[in-house]
Amino acid sequence: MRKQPAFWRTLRFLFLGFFVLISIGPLLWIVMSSFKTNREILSSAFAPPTSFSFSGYEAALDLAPIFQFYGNSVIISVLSTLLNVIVVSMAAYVLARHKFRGSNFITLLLSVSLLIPTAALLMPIYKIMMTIGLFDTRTGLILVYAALGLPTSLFIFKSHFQSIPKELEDAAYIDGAGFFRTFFVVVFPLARSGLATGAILQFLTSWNEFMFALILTKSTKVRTLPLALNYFTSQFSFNYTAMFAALTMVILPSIIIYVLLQEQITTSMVEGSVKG
Amino acid sequence: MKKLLAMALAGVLMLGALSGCGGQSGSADSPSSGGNSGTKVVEVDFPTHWVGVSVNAPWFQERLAAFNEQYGDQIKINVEEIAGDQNYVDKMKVLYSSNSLPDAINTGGYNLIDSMKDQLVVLNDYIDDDFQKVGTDIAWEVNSRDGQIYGIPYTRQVIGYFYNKDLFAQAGIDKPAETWDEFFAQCDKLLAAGITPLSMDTADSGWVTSLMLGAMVGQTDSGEAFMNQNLPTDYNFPEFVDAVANIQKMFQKYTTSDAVGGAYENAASNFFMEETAIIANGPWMVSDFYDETLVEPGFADRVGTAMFPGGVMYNSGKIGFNIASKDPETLEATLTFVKFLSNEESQQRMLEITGDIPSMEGITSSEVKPLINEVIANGDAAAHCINDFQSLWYANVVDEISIQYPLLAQGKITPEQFAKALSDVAAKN
Repeated sequence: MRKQPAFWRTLRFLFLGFFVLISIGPLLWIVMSSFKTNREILSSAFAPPTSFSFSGYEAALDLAPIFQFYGNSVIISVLSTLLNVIVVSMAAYVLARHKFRGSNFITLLLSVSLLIPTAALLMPIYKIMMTIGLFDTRTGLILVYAALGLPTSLFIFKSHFQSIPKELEDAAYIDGAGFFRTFFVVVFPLARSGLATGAILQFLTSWNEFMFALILTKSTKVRTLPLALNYFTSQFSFNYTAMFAALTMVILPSIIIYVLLQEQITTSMVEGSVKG
Repeated sequence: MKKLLAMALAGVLMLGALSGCGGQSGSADSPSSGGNSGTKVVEVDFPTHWVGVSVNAPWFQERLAAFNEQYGDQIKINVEEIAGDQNYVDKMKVLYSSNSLPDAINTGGYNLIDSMKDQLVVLNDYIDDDFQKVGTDIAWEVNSRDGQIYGIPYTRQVIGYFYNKDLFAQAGIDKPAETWDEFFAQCDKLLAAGITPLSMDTADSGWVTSLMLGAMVGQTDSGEAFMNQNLPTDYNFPEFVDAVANIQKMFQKYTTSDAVGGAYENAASNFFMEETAIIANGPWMVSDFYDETLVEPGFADRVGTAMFPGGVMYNSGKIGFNIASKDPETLEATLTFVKFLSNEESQQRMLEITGDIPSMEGITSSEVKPLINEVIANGDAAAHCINDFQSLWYANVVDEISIQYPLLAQGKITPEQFAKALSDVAAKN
């Protein structure tokens, strides 16, 4: 293999170094700030801490039920993602493959909810949740989040199902597979990359959602992480050290899990595109 | 086949988890239940933003414990934690739209009375002469509309400005200004000494900045009347436009670069770090002057208090507790709870713990920090006493301020256009 000229190698390293810096820099800054006092953060934001103190972590755990909120976020985000992927993928498959009277209207109806502002949904959804007894429950949030991601997932899944050659399904039917088996055994694995894309978007939507979590819950037992960060600033007071310590506790597990599982995640995403 | 099995198992797992997620945390929505002895325990819903770093959080925890000790066998308080003042107001708006406001509400000063009074309990019949003493006449007035009481006061608003004595001395300034001309001359002196004069902000209704604005408006008798007027709709008058012009000058000449877009914490940080010499705010800030994780040791000794030029002080009532209980039994329990949080002992503890000034006259304590007593003395000596915009102006006008301030600071609108924008928004109510 021909060796690259020094200039291009340097440029490549600079380019990669720049992206590493802007990707990791803010995370490192948060972790570093979690060991500084409020005064150090305010006076010299980029200087390293004068001494390593875990008082910020103690304060964060004292001020807000972070671990409880974290657990709720994991449960709610994972289950709403599973629910969304399973239900919406089935709907998207039917709408992508089978033309029937009203199929375009149903697609339009399901997609148009993307245009409704969240603020307009708050009150009706609150009333529905109160009526059906799902107010202040994780189940309520799971259902709402799965529904909120419906139009986006439908778009993604439908377009992926349409890109799969229909002949593969015909072959499955000829081999004696039924409708459900064809969908789950043949089509579902082939659409894995599209399903993964939709699932990631759905997970992020659920993980970061704030307003419904605030309105549809009232007890700390079922609340999620985005609400926790508000415990560290109010109109007339703030504790940056505790806030950065809380952020560190929130982001580090996610980063560690991603680092440990990144090979599997990447493999599963690539696998779907060549299998079958 | 293996994958199908895995998928089926995942489905079963999910269904199981979903059914396990349904457990409701409390019995807040269930009817009040009897205790062991057969005594009926009435439940009261009280959402609060006095959580986390809120200065009132320790006070509330202490008073709630005291209440539970005294009334725990009769009344159960279901506390809902809503971190963040604005989040609290947002949630109340949704609950109001659904006709499901909680039993007791405390916004910390935001005026929800005018927009929600049809769902609030009129309290006149429940306030006897003895309990009336928990607030001065002005404190009750702020919580009343057309003679009907919608709120129970527990604190009052006394606000001037704080200044850094060392930075003033460096600029050759002996004492706070008595007129606004003198104030701006002092700003020029500070600038000449290399010191940024003012802490300002624009986000979250620009609290610090708007205090300066109101103080400039309130220096005349007609301006003072305007600043004590409930729900004003017309901002197109000379005193207001002139004050806005001065705010524009402050943004462009006398403040820090992070003022535009910045919130209270930016303004406060600059004052704590001694990068600015003046900040307008209330006495609840005083405890931060002693917090050595925020400021240099001895910082509090370098801070002085002042009334605004023209002898103006924010010295008025403050929106207190609102009640929206729907049945007589819960109403009685809610009143017991709210009256407990507003009584003389609770107000005294609030003064001692948070530095908030009691709404009741004559409450003092040896545990109060000297700067707080100075603020109270300034309030008592003020020639013009005004109320703050968050308590009196329409909520959408308060929100509009944060949109208009950056435009004003950048010179994209004139003071007249600023005043017109607020008037137009107020007219929509």
